[in-house]
Amino acid sequence: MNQHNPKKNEDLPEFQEKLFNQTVAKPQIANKDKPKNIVQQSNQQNCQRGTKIMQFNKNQQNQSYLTSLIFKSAKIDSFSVELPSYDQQYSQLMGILDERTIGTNESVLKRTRNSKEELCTKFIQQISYMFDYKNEIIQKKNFLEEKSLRLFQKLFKVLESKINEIADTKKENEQKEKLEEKFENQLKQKNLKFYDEVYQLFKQTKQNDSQLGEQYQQVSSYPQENNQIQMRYADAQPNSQGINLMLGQRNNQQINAAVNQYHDMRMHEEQVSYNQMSTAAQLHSQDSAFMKGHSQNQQRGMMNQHNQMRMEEEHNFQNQMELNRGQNIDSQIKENIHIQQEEEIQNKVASNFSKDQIKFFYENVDVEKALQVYFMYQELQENLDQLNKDLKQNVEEKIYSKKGSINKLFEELKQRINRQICQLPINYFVLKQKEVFEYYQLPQYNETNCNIQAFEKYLAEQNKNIIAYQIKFSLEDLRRLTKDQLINDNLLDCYASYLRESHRNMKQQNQYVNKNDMSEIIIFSHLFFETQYESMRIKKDEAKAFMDQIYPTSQLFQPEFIDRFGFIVNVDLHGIKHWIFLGVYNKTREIIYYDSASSNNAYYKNISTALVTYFQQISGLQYTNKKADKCPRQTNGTDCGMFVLKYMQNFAYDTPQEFDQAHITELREKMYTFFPMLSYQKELKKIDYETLQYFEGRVKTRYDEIQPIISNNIKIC
Amino acid sequence: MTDQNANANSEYLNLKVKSQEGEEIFFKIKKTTQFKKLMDAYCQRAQVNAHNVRFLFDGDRILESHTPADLKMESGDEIDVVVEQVGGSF
Repeated sequence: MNQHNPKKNEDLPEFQEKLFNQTVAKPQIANKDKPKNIVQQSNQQNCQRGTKIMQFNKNQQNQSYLTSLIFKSAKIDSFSVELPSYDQQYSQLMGILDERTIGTNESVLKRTRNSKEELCTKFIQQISYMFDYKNEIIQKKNFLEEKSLRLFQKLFKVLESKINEIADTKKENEQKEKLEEKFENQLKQKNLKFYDEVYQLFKQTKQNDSQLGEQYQQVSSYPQENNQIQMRYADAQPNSQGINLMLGQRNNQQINAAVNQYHDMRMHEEQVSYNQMSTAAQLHSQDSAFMKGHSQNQQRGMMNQHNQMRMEEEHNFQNQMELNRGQNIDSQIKENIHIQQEEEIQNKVASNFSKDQIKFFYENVDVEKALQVYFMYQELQENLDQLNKDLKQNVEEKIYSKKGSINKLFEELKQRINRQICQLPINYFVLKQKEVFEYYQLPQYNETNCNIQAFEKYLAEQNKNIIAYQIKFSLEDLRRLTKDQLINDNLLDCYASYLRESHRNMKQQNQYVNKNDMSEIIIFSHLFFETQYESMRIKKDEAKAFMDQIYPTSQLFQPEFIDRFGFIVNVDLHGIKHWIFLGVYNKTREIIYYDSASSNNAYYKNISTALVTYFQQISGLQYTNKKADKCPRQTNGTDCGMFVLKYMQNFAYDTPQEFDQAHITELREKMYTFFPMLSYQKELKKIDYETLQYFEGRVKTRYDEIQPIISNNIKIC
Repeated sequence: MTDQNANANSEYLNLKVKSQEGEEIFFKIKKTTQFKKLMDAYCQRAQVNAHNVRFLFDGDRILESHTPADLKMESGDEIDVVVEQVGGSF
């Protein structure tokens, strides 16, 4: 590049003169008229490539602008620059100097001229450097293009070679198939020949048959000597099988053994052989079936020879085939993997771009970057799919977790409802109790020695009766709730019918229960077992009629109508009476047996099996009976009725059977006010649901919780 | 039967009270009279305490305040008598 500099210096005066002659008004025309441009001369090599020539107006004087243009445009090979005219610069400079220095000195002029020359040389040098730099860039670009071209050529070579490989393998396969077909044809021809031979032999046997028939006729003339033969021949049809029998069993056995052996061999080969050979095997099996009919020595020899020949041939062929296949399979697997990869690449490239487009890409696009972008795109897509999957999973998990939490809440609420600690104070219930006691003039719970007759008289005078669910309570009934008294049927039956109604009310009030679930519960009074136990076993219709009065038996066993129902049973064993309870679950088809006294298996079996058979005869449904898992036991000899009452309660409200003897003694006192309260509620409807719940023993007040703790810990001296 | 039909039309009903042992006692009762009268009469005759006996009609209990008209009884209907059941333990 140093060679250019002296040239430029030599040309400068001419250049200057021309510049001075230029007119300011027509700069572009002047440029076109000038072939001798410094820049053009210096870049003749690039001009030969000649894609574009840029021309700069003299107005575009900024170096930075020029350089930026040159660096940005990689496709510009050469450009011409019109330098700023000297007279302009000079006049400007002179103007500045005139302003600054008063008067014009020659020394100043010289300086300015020198400075002008220096400026020009510097500018030209910079331009030349710029061009050097540009050349370097172009070289680099060419190198990169070559690189990408090589890469693509490599890629295409690989693709072509792999495509050729696929084609070759296809050809090989076709050749193999052709060979197999040829062999099959040969086999068929051989088979046909074999059939012909066999057919001829068959003809011969028929002739022999006729000969033998003649012999038979001769023999039949002496029936006394050859009865056995006659019989055999008469039973057998006039075919070759008959001859077999005639000729004796020896030959038959031998032939059959040979045939069987052959069969076994065939079976073994069939297992090994491929599908293509199955047709041949079928033909062969037909042969063997056909051969069973023939039993002459000649045939046997022929057949054995033939079979051996065939077997050997087929065996050899199959071995070869197996070997070939074994090799083929390994190679095929490898090929398949390659083919898959190739197809993927081919599809990616070929499906998206045509060959012209690919060429266009070589010339114009940075291929490596494009590929990078393509792979980036693929990765992004995979990431997107994964993200979608994750999102789905997350959402499902959240839904499940929410469902779980909702179920937990639901259960908690259920428990709370079932084992509520009442918000009302104890005094509220005490006042209600007082109200009821005053209304009926009931004696206090502990006053067991009160006059019953006076009480009855008072009620009769006042026209008041303690009646609930068509059961009239006398004071004697209520006194049975005091300590160590036996519970009677009135109390249990009344409470059973109360539970049915209460369950219905509870469902209406409870917002957490499904409104569409209309199922009820029923507890049959002890009268069913009292009056119908014998007819249940003998006259089923009577027992059924009794049930129908309470609830239609057609719906009794359907869980949509009746979820569960129970029976109160009074058992009489050798004059000793005992209450038990039977709970029937329609959903699980179970009869559960509650007994507060332990180890009483005698009547458990009688009653529960009687019920099971009775249900089966009525409804056709099979119930299973079992003893309750949780079943608290009584510790005294009088509380069985109270235990049955509590079993019923838990059964009706679907709460666990968790209570003890202490709870039962508390319950007795509460129940003493519960039954009068029921009748009071029926009569005047002044009692709310919560007070009934409290005196049922289902709800506790805070006082009831604290009171036993206090009474246990603090003793008043 | 003709007598019973004639009675059915009239104010009076013929009712049969049957104990668990199978003893049958017939009662003639007005349609509008309460069962208390019948129950007391039965208890006197059978020598039973009224508290220890349950009267049933078609499996349902009969109250003292009920009348035959309330339960839509007809002449010849049967009333079962069941003795009170008590249970203790062994």
